[in-house]
Amino acid sequence: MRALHWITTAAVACSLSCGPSGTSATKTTPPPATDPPAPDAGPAAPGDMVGIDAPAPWATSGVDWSKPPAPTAEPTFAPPAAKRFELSNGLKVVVIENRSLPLVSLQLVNPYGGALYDPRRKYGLAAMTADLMDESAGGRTALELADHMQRLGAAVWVGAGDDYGVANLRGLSRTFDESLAVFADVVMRPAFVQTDFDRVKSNRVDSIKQNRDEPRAVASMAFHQTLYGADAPYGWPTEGRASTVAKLRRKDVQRFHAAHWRPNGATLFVAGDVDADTLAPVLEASLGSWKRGAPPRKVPAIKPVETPARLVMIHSKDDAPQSAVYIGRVALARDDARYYVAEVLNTALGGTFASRLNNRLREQLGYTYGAGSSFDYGVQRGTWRVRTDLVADKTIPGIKEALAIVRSVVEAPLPDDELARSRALLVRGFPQKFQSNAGVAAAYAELVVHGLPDDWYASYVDRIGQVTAADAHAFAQDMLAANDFVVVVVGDVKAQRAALLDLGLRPAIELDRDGKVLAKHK
Amino acid sequence: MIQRARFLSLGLAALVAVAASSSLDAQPTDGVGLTATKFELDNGLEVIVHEDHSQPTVMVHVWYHVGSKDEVEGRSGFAHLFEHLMFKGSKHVPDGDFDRLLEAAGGWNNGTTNEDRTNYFEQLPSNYLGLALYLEADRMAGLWDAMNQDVLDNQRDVVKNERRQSYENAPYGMAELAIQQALWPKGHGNHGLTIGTMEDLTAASLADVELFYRTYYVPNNATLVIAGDVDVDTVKKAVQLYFGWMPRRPEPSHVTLTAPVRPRSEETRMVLEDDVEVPQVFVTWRAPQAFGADGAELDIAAQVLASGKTSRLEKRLVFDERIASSVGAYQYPMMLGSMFQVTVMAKPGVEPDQLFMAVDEELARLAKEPPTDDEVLRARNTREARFVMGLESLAGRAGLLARYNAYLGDPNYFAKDLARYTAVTPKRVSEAVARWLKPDARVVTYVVPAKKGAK
Repeated sequence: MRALHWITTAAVACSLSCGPSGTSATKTTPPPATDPPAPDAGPAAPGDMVGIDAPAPWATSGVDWSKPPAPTAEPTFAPPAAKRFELSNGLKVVVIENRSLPLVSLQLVNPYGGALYDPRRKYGLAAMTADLMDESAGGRTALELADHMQRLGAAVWVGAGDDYGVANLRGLSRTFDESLAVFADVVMRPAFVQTDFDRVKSNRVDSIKQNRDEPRAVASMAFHQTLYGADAPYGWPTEGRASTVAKLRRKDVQRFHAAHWRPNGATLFVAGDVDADTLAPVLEASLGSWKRGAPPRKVPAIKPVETPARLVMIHSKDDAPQSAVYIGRVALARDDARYYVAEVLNTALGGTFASRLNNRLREQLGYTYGAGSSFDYGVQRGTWRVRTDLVADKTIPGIKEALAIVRSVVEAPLPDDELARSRALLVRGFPQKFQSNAGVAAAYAELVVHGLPDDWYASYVDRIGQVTAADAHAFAQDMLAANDFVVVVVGDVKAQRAALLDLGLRPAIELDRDGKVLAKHK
Repeated sequence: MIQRARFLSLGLAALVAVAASSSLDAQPTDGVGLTATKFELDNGLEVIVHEDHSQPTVMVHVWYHVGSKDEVEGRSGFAHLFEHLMFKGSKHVPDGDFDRLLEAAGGWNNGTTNEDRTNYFEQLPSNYLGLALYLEADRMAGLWDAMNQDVLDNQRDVVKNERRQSYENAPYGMAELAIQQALWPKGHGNHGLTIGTMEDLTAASLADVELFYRTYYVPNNATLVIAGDVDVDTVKKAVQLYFGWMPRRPEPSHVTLTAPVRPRSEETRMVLEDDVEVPQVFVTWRAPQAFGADGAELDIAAQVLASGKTSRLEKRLVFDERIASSVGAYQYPMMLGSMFQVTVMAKPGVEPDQLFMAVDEELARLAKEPPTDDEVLRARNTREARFVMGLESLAGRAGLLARYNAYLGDPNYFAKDLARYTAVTPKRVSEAVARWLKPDARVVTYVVPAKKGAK
């Protein structure tokens, strides 16, 4: 069937381009059943069929194709309003009503529940605690809880990042009362059953080891470890290391939960088919009895490594077809006043498909399926990095090219068109942040986690619009010029070591896929 | 896995949305639905419009009814490679401007190709609808005017990198290729992967591009879906302006299902080595074509088998026996026949045979004894909730409308799709499993760690 199809269309198209094309020349067979109109029948109406190679009658369209059409009037958009109150135990609540679908999303953000608070050498504890909270809880076994949530058409899950832990609920508003009860159990009354603990811990250790298989995961681990130090906050992986997770005990999790998962300091975001006024007593009834605790005495300070290794090489496998590459450095916290200029600059540099990095490395050079850069804004510090997977034999030229592209925004201000496009994308794309309940909740959570004012979004558009090319240039000179980037390469390092060292980046180190130092190169 | 995105950040999760059942009974949720207006231009271009004024944005989809199933021998990967070329400029739009113009408008865009169709989409503020239509029309009618060898060569390299990143350099990645080659015979539209082979990508020529373009990228082989802050009358006028002038072209032939999908008649076993820490077991069968009879039953079967802690395989292998770290089961629907797959990731030190035996036993049990009412209820309720969630985003809705239209000819299929699942009973699940997921019809694949030093 496919061969016949080829013959048919090849015959029809023979008039277009018979000749050395690499395709098989085939015998002509009759063209498709319907024939084009006779040549002297006058111009065809659009409904009339014309031949496969008849030219397109652009001139009949009535469109001025010489330029894209102008937009119609700019619509106005305001982020949905939030209502705020507090429960008797200090738990803050932010509610965004949205009655368009019978869905509710809850996110409880706990600033003391993140990997930042992992005790020394017990890396992965915050994440493990989160993992176990949604197992057995409130008198139900893990299996009973799972079944119950499925019947309700809802899901509850708890996770941890570096800066905070978050408990989530998502489901139908029709069964909200029942699923909220489970959510309260998970947050307040997790059972931390030994068999659950053993199973989850074992699977977590396995999954950490499996990260070795994934070059980008290895690169990310090495990047953060190099910038912050293997035994420093932000420097160990959120999920921990196989060796540190293996040492965790059930009581570690119990203690972490008791000390770190408390209502005071936390904020609950509710978005969806709810009414803030009727919700308040409902939340008080289910979460009001959650006892206050003492917040951790000290917030661990983030202290990046003063002179990190400049080149970090990790051998993934012989003949790896690509190298996973990170290039970057320590950068801004989210509440930094330079956030706006950082976003404008990064959008042009590597934040979109048409950005300098992607356009050059992918579209012009074909070195990669995608290249980009981003600021990752933490609570105290953040990072900035370029990320790309380069085809193996373009690893060196790709890295050089990436560094040159970054230099280009340091050496000269953005031209008007790039600046305008960058600002326009951020401003006009802004409403899309608020499309789903989870998106809206996350948007508001971001403000709370980073201590930004409640009305931060009201001024976002204006602040972005005020960023000038000079602002962006000054920022680039400050942030991206020092030539102190860390370059991480995960690929066939055995074959490429000499060439990588020739880049001249020092200190240069070699790690195994778990992050253990194998060699240092002078 | 199957949808090849032009840029990896995006892909539509084409969840079928549902007018949800309530928790413990089976009444549909009031007021949840998905409907659109459909019309056709004189030149055969189908247009579907869904109004939603909750946000000042609009989503525009163009679905061309050609996919990797329609590729010819020696040109695997071509439909997807062609998709890449569509972003490289057209008659009035210089290379690079497509993305720049959309980004300047505050929009994002992407495209995906799979076995059945090629799909282009953008989301942008609703006052820029004209821009989206202008760009789509210009590349529909004027792509070839901007095409040249350099563009083809460059995107060929990009696609090869995509293949490396998604398959060759991804753990367990090459198993997918082997499975899709074994599941369907050579010459069948689903044989192999949409990404294609390196050899065939290398062989693709400019002449191929022109032929493919003139054959398939014509208004009467395309469907436009416009969803968001628009009104039907304005859209009608705008679409007529930008697309109405294009002439109808000869109907391209499509590879279609000409005989009922049949399970394979033999079992195949494969062992592949890869640079991985632990083995993974894949058991794969053919399944009925998308939306075909038994399809909903098999979706529910997949959930009974591997969705959630109390599912058959997860409870047994992850929870009780603790010989697996994760399990999965899903049905991937296609026009020429779907794929049903069970996967099990081993814990270290566990032999794949042990995992496979458990899968074999659980499938045999499910084929013989219907699941419980509670298992089916939970699966239905979970699925139905996901349906409602799928309606939250414009992207989700537009994708659904386009999908219903492409597979069934009716964008307003939502309620009927829900009804497919409401009608599922335990007995029908069992019967579907017995009919399709037979031992002598499966492809069994073990991916095991490569022996050290053997690389």
